[in-house]
This record gives sequence, C-alpha cells and structure tokens, in this order.
Amino acid sequence: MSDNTPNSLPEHDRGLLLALNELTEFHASRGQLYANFIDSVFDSRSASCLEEVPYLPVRAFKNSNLKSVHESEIRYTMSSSGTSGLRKSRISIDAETSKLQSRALANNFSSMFGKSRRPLLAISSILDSEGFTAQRAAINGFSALSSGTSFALRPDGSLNTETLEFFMAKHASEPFLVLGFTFQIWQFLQAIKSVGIKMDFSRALILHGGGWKKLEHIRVSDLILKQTAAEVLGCKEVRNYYGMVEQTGSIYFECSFGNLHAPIEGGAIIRNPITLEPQPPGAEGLVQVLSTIQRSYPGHSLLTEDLGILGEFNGCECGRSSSTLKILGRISNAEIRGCSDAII
Amino acid sequence: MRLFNAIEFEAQPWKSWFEFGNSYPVGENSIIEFLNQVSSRVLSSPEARQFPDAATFGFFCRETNIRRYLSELSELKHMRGIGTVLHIAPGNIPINFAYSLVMGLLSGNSNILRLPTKNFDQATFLIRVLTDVANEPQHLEVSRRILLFRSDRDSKALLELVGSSDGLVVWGGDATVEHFQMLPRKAMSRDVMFPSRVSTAILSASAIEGLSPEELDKLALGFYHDTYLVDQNACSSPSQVVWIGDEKSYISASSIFWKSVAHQVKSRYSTWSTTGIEKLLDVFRKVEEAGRSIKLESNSAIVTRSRDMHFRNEPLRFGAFAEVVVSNIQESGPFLRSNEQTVTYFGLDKQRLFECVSSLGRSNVERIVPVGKALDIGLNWDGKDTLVLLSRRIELS
Repeated sequence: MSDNTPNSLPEHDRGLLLALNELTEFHASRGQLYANFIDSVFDSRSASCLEEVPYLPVRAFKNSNLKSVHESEIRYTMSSSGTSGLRKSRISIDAETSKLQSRALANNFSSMFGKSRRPLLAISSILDSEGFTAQRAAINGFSALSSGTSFALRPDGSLNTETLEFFMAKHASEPFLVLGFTFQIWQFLQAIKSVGIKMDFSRALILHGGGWKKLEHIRVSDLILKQTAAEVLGCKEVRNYYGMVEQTGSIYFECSFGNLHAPIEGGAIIRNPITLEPQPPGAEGLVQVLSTIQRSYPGHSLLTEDLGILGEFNGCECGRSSSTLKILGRISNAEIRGCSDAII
Repeated sequence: MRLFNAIEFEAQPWKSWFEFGNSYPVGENSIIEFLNQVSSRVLSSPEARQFPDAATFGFFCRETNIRRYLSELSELKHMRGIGTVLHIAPGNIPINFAYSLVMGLLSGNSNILRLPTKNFDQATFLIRVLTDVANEPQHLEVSRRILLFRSDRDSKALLELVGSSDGLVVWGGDATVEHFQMLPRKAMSRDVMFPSRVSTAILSASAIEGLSPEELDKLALGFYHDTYLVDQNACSSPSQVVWIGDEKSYISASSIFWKSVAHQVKSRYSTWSTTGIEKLLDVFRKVEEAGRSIKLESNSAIVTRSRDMHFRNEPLRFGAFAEVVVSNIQESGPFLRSNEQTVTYFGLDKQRLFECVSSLGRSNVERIVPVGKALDIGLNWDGKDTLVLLSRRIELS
C-alpha cells in the first residue's frame, strides 16, 4: 500500500493518506458490508492521493450498524440527532476509539485556545440519561477539558438564574468557556436580554456549533450573533466549531480571523454534488471529512450533506498552515419520489 | 377557471360558481380553440426555451394535433362527457396536470384538478398561461369548466369530492391509486387510474457504434430528456437499458453512449441536491441486500450502471441503470418486467419490437416509441384511450 504514496504530497497530507489507507484496509478486513460497498464503488482500497480515499455517505450509518469490532468490545453507541427525522445514526464506540476521540478533541482545542483548563458553562440543562447524542458528546468532551461544568438552563429550557448567578460570582473574573448549539446560544442571548440581568462575559469564550438552520428563518448571521453577544454580555470571543457525531473529536475550530481550521488528525475535500468529483479550493460543493481516529467503525472518510468551500490559499492570517473551511449550510433534499406520490 | 389554495378549497367557495356535474359534447370547437390559444401563448413565451416539457405541451395543444386525435374516433358527434371529473395530478412530474386537464376538457367534462403540493416553475408558468387564456371573453364558456386547487392529503372537501364526482383520474404510484380506490365512490363513477410502471430502453449497439458525433449528441440529448430531466422519476423513464449486440460491440457502443449522456448531464443538469448521495446510498442498500459487492460498469457518479442481477432491484433513480446485453430483439423479451410500460428504442425496427412484445404471454408494454419520446404524453396514454374512457357514446337506433 505504501508504494502508492507519492512523495510530492505535503508532509501532513502524506501522513494522513498513509493513515487513511491503513484504516480503509483495517475496516474492510473487519466489516463485510463496508468492504463490499467500497469494493463496488471505488477502484481501489488503497489510494494514491487523498481524493481517491474511499468514502461512505454519512447517512449510511442511519441504515445499518456499521462496525469493525466485536459486539462485546463496544462500550457505547452514539446516535445523531437525526435532522431527517426517521432514523438515527448508530455509531459504535470501543475503548480505544473513545480514548482517541478525547485525545483528538484535547489536542485540537488546545492548539486553538491553549492548554489551560477553565470552567465551563453549558447552555443546556443537566443531561438526562437518554443515550449519546451530539449534544452529549460535545458537553462530555469539553467538560473533560474544563475545570468544572455548570448548566445554564432548567430542564424546561428556561434560564437557571441561580446557577448563572453563582457561576458568575465565582468565575466572572477569570477566563471561562461557554458552550452550546448555535441556536441555543442565540436563545440564551435573547433570554438574558429579556430578563435584563447584567452579566460580565468579557473574559468568556463562547463556542457554538451545530449549524445555522434553525436560525435561518429569523436571519441571524454569524455577524449578528457576534454583535449581540458583545452587546448583551460584553463577550468579545464568539467562535464557531464544525463537527459531527460520526467523527467525534475531530473538530474544526474557528480561528480569530473567522476561518474554520481542519483538525490536526484530519482534513476535508470538497466534491461537486452532481459528479462527486473533487473541487479545487475556492469552489463550492459537498464537504467530505477525513479523520484518522475511528477504529471501531468505518468513519474515517465520510461524505456529508453539508455544503462548504475550502480556503484558496494555504494557511491563514492567524498563522496556522492547516487548510481552512467555510460551511455554507445543508444541501437540499432531492425529491425522493417514484411515480408514487400525488398525495404528498 | 379558478385556482384555490388549501385553505380556500376547504371552505368550498367554488360551490356557488362551478356547475357541478355538467357535461358537454366530446371535442367541441370551443375547447380546440382554447387549447390552440394556449399553444401559441406557450410557444411564443421565452419560458418555452427554458422548459422543454412545457414546450412539448405547447406543441401537443396545437389544433392540428388535437384534430388528428379526434379524427380517430368513430361517431364523435354522438359522444358526450360523463360530468365532473376529479383529477389527482402526480407529485413527481411537473406538467402532467396540464395533460390530464386536456383529457378531461376534450372528452366533454367539467374538471376539478388537484395540483401537486410542490410548486414546480414550469407548472407555475403553465398555470399563468392557462389563466390568461381562460380570462379572455371568448373563452368564458371553457373557463367555467376548470377549477384547480391544492389541498392536504386528508382534506374533508377532497374526500367529499371523491364521493360525488362522476369520474376520477388518479396519477399514481400504486400507493396513491390504492388510497383512492379504497375511498367511497359514486356507483356510476368512471375511474381512470395510472399506477406505478417501469420502462426500458432497447438500443442497437451496432447502430450506435456507427453514429457521427452529431448524431450521437442528438441521441444522448433525447435520452437525457427521457431520464435526467425528470430525475428518472417518470414511469416512462427507462430504468433498464437492453443492448442488442455481441459483447464486443456492447463494450464499444456503451462506452461512447454513456460518455455522451454524461456530457449532456454535465452541461444541462444544474440543480444541486442530494441526488448523487441518494444514488450512493441506493448502491449501499443493494450491496447490503446482496451480501456481496456489486460490479458497476462505470465509476462515474453521473451514470451509475451495472449488469448485476441485484442492481436491477428498485430503486433505480437519479441516473441509475440496470444493463442487459442480448444478441437479438427476441431475446430481450424475457427481460421486460410485468409492469413494463414504455419501450424506447434506437436503431431498431419498431415493427420487430412490436412483434416481440406481442409474442410474450404476460407483457403489459403499452408504448413503443423512439428514444427522446418517453415523456411525450398523448390522449392515448398507458394503454388507455382517455377520450373514450372519460366519455360515453349515446346509442341512436
């Protein structure tokens, strides 16, 4: 396999390609369905460039339990929130993958925001025991990097003002982290505004992810979110992250120049949605995410349903050399209809 | 002509305006003039170039074309409509509603037509043209025979209409057809149902090998119109391609044909949606069902095709084709499925195809038409002569 690796690739990509090829072979030898699929669709299991690495459509996890370890080794199963409703993704996690996810998250986070632990204010209620969702994965992951977690909401979604006041009294004077889905952060800002509490978030870093879809109809943009956070809380650091439950740990963080950066152990490719051909930097298309930390399920190369665009130039004003990604939203659903539905 | 949205329709304000149950002679001049006017409006609009399917409808409505259909009917002057026909238009093909309406009008009926929930651009365009022509004073009489509406699936007013109309035209799928068949109907109602069908293209490999680049382009464009234009969603869009020829000519002919089709798709298909992803997932499911890998004939995401038996299972959509290679027309017979509707052909003798289809014991093939004509609806559609089915012939003796 390694014979296939041309020396012309940048060092990071060369290492990534080697690791991905190894993972493709690893999962193909342990999962018959995965092997049968990639053998049907792709020329070769062993790729000579990143664009040739076989990939799964991310929705494949919704229909089948794709796993590469024995049932007894599975520690827990994560599930996606399931935007398309009916079926949830099922991602099987073993001890090793779980450890790799935590380590990747810690590395990606500290390379963007530094190593110091800070208190975490989750814009969520205390998690119930209902399975491993994207939200739980995010809060668990970031909690492990924090010096303690507080929950800003009550189970009914209203502000838990006592917790908030207690948290602020204790931590307002030091750097702290605020975490939530993008729409939850927006709702949180609206709630604070309407209650009229004065809180000093000038030392806070607000991290939000999960997409803008729920905010589109009220036309909340990144800029408006940032302005509102500054206005309501005095918060100057609002950063987006891009990640998915199918690649937990491999998170794209927004730098201070507004660009999402690929995780250390991963990368992204943009594909034309019609031809699925790779697109050059600067061109829009479907985002394919690459990561090297998935050992218990074949999730190292996934074609998402998000539209995005890769930065045209290597590196970024922030000084990082990793590729930058912009997420433009979700692609629209094809009309999934046979001759069958006058009646929809 | 009036158009009601779901809320308005539910309140049934049309009851005071629409003459429910009225019927008229078949093929009246007033209808022919109305349709001819629609035709000129459509064909002279800039939109005709944008929507090839709307343009085809425009040609269909020309007076000469309509009169040709009518001339095939015997005793036309003793034929009369059945009353009010309720049409349930399909959700997948943008302008079928307009053809259904023409069938109802020409056969002498007053028509209530449920539009698909989705707003297709070419449907919006046609509704605008129909409205404009219907509003002209000379078309007042025809205008009163047309009511368009949108409604929810469980609309009470819709249920009531199903139970009281004199005829029902349902463009399926099977699930939709079965749904309406279960509903209480008037005992005398005439029902014309269009359930799910599948279709096949039969191509001569040697004929395609011998094409000039221009001829090949033209063929590929015709095939594109039959398939990709409607995301392969129409019942008459081929999901199977049968090649007549030996292995060697199949390999060379299929290679140039599909390359040319892919070229058409690249230059014409521009809507970004999950089609490419859906097709990958369809392959994924077929692989899962088969329990083994499936050999695909090409690795292009635009044309996904295979000769594997497992690939033949539905769904075949968004540019997915099951391929078969046989040495002569007669051998293609067994590959035609029990609900096969349209055979599109290229480089073959239509009479030979007809004989092949006729010799099959259990064939339901209704149409044998050249590649490029799969979606061309006529008044005789799906084996049903709609002018006859939606009218009655009065005995005079």
